[in-house]
Amino acid sequence: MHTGKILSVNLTNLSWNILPLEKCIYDKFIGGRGLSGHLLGTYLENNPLIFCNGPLTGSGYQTSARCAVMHINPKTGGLFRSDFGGRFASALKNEGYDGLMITGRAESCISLVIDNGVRFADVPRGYATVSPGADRNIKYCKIISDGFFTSHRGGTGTMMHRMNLTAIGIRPSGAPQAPDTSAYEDIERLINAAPSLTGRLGIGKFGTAALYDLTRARDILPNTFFNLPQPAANTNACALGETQSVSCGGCTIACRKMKNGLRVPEYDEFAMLLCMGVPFERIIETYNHCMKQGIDIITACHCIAQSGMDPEEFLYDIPEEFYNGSDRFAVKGVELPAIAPNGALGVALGYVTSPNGADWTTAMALTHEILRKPVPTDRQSAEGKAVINIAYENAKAASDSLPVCRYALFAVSLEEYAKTLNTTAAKLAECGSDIFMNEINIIRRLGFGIETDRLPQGALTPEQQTGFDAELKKYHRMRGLA
Amino acid sequence: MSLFDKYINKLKKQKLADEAVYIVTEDSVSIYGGDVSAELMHTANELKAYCLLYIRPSEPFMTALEKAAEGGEFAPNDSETRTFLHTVPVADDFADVSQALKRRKAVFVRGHGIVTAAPFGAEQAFIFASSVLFSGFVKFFSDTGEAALLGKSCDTESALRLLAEYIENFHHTELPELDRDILLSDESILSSMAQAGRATVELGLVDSFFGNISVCHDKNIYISRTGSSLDELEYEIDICPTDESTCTGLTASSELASHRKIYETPGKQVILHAHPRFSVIMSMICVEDCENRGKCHYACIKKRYVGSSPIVPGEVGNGPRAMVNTLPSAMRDNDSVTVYGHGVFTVSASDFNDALRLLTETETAALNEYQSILLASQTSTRSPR
Repeated sequence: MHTGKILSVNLTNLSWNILPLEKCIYDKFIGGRGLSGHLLGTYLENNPLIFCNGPLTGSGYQTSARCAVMHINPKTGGLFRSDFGGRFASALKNEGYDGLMITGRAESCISLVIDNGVRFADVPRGYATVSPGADRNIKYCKIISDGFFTSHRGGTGTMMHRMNLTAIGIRPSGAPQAPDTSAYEDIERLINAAPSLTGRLGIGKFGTAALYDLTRARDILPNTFFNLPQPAANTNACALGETQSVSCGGCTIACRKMKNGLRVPEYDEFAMLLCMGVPFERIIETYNHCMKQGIDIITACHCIAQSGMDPEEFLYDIPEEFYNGSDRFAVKGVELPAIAPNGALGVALGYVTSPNGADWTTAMALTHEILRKPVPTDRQSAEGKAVINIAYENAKAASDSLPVCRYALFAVSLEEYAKTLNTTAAKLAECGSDIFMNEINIIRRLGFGIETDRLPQGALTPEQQTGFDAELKKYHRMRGLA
Repeated sequence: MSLFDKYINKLKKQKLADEAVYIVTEDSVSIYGGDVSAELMHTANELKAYCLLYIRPSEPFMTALEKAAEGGEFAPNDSETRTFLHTVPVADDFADVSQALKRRKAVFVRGHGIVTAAPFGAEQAFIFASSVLFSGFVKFFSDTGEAALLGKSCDTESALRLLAEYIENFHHTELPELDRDILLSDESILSSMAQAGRATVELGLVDSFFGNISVCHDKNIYISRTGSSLDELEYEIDICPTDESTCTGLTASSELASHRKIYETPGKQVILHAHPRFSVIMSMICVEDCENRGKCHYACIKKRYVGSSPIVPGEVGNGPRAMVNTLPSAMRDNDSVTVYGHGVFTVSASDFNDALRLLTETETAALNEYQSILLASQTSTRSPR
């Protein structure tokens, strides 16, 4: 399950050593996101870049081929947390490490290779890789793993450029077999029972852009906060036609899609680009250009809205004044993703309470407010969302630490994941709470106080704001933050 | 009326519970539905769960649960238990409840009833409780029925008594007259679906959060949403184009794929799917020795029937074991098909009257067959050898 070792690499003097970790750390922080947070909190002053796998890495469980990444956000000075798919996490574990922590800055551009030790050399062909997008100037540059998978938001690529780190390569491990356990069967049954995952219209068939029709029908696309016209109804994931599925490791959902050798955009990017007016027939090409450059499309689209420029012109030659992004519609300096807060108040609450800044993947309120799982809730009301968001924030923090994919939480709960580790759902939720609160402590140290838990001006109507503020206060009381 | 009061009323109106109490813990504690014992309050404090629901099931459910729980934690092979509950833990008193709820959604406490903990509040706690009720009922009656058929010792007397009580209180054969010309407009389709859904729940053929219903008309499938209550379908229906040109049906029932495939056969206009208790129970009772025993829910190859409704295997939703691979082909030649351990699907070429009648007839046949098994077993036990 755990190797008990973290590989620590210092790029300034090109040295490395192994940090042993006590079992009690794993008992509290599990692995993945939790372990990354523990390391970031411990070594915050060194401004480290951290990658962690978790106890399910390499186990063959569905959606477990994820790698957690965490560091100080170069754009905001706050916390950056994300995860990505591919072979990187299992390769790292196969080399004997639960995590990789990189500090310092190399004198000139180098690559880091991990194969039975550490080398600073070109990454051999076929290795599991992480590399930054090509754009060295922007502060919202993403990473690419195995040339295909990316982190959800930008910043890690910027960190790597600053460190003069061109790539990280790890000798790949073999593909794990699906375990023959009742926990695997229970999880698979729930994945198969979820229309949003494996249904005829689900993300398994159309990619995560399948969510677009739902948010459009509910009028909660980003055009509402940019005050732009709504994109046409027929420019949706179905209209992209036949695609090929790509899975992160042994994932049975396989929500990553390709068409003609190019990646199909994810939900947030798809919705953002359409709202900005990128022609539907050029959306895949534009997305793939941004991916290669490492451009965080969400941030870039906020800049486009602010600049009034033609979107493609902007994305192919980002003006210098937008290297820092935009903070007009942002929480803790992080621009709102593609769900308008005024049409989903649980999502809105999740934006302000996330240690990551505006991020719907921290409290996952989309799951119940839009997808109706595990039960539908009233998206127009903030009432009762504090307690639900806390439960989901804890569950998400725990599942990110196993780690498993955020989309699996559309169907699977901690009860099923607990069985994979022979523990209880309650214990995982308790760990999730510790992991989340550790991140809150980190952002406090970085200067983000409780007063930064707020939406951009005018995001809600005055009536909505009153109910929202009351629920936010309740949230702070329940978290012990008031 | 708060959501908590709404679900307490629902539990009582559907005669599922004699007592129902919610303990709601946010930054303060609220109680709905009556007094709470000190022991239960202690459990709520210990768990710090947002929403704790305690129900004392009405008869015959309480006795069925007590009997299902005689061997401790139980897990019948029905679809609801297998997919969502996994197992139902059993506690001897309230002191053991919090331990059980740390790993499972609900627990049965001997002599008291069901306790569930739900992070999403009233509705989710209600679903958990009604699932346990269903699970315990199915467990007792399917085990007893199978034992009786095998000539093994079993509590036939209790089963017959509970069955009589169930028939008297829950089995209805008088059908309401449902709308006839349902295809006049979107409005008429939606209101006919809401009416049929409500009738299905009122007839006791499904607990309100399970089952689904659809109409196929003019290149659209109108289908109840996932997580909707069949007795509250107003605004809870998705309209999904059959050419799949939009994903707005992403929130449609998890059985959309099966419905779609069933409609590929000409002449099928509406589908009604419910979980009538004895149809589910009878679909699970099989004493034949078979190489697929233990895998019946997805690999049964025997030709079996509930009344005239053929039984097919298949899991919920999608995937190689899903009912989408078995149910639609069976429905080509049958207007009522029972999915093993899951429920009954009925179709009609016009409106919901025939579909509802077929559903009721299948359940009546299941009840009669079940009763015959018990009576035959009783007779053979009493006969001199």
